Amino acid sequence: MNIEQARVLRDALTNEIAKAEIVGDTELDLLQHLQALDNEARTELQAAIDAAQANAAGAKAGG
Amino acid sequence: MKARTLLSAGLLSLALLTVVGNLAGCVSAPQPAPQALSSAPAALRGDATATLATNACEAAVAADYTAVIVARKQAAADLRAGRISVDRAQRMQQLADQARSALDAACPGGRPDNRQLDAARAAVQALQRSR
Repeated sequence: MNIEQARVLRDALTNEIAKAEIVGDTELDLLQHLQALDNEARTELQAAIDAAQANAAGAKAGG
Repeated sequence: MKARTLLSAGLLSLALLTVVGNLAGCVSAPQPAPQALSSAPAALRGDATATLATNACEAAVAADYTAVIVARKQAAADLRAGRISVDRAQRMQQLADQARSALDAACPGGRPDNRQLDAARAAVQALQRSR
């Protein structure tokens, strides 16, 4: 695990612990949080792909 | 008497040399090289993350989920910066989707499915190599 992955995991745990403390849970649903983070990351990458393709199409149309 | 004194001194010297030798051995003993967590055996990785997760299966897959998340974010940043092509970004998205599907199926009922875990790790490794 590199440092960036460790940071993502740390942040996920911090958020999950904070949520659990608010509602009084003693168990963490870490996987659910990681899945939500991956959904966001997927959306971010897809948006970047779509934007790059739109730029390429615009450049091609503009000659 | 003199011989006994000499013998005692000799034994004392020998004992001291042994102690010093052992200390020197401790100081100069080669230290094991740091090992990347991702290269550790699966069982060890599970142990290493067990303190961070709520059950054994979460422990087995948490680091892999994290690797997928980071790979997607890095790919998005690289694409926006023009460091990778659209084709490569799309390929990474596909590999990440494969890894995610396998990870989602890796803990049926909270218990690890080793076949899905192996498939997930193969996809994660392919994703990391594709950068």
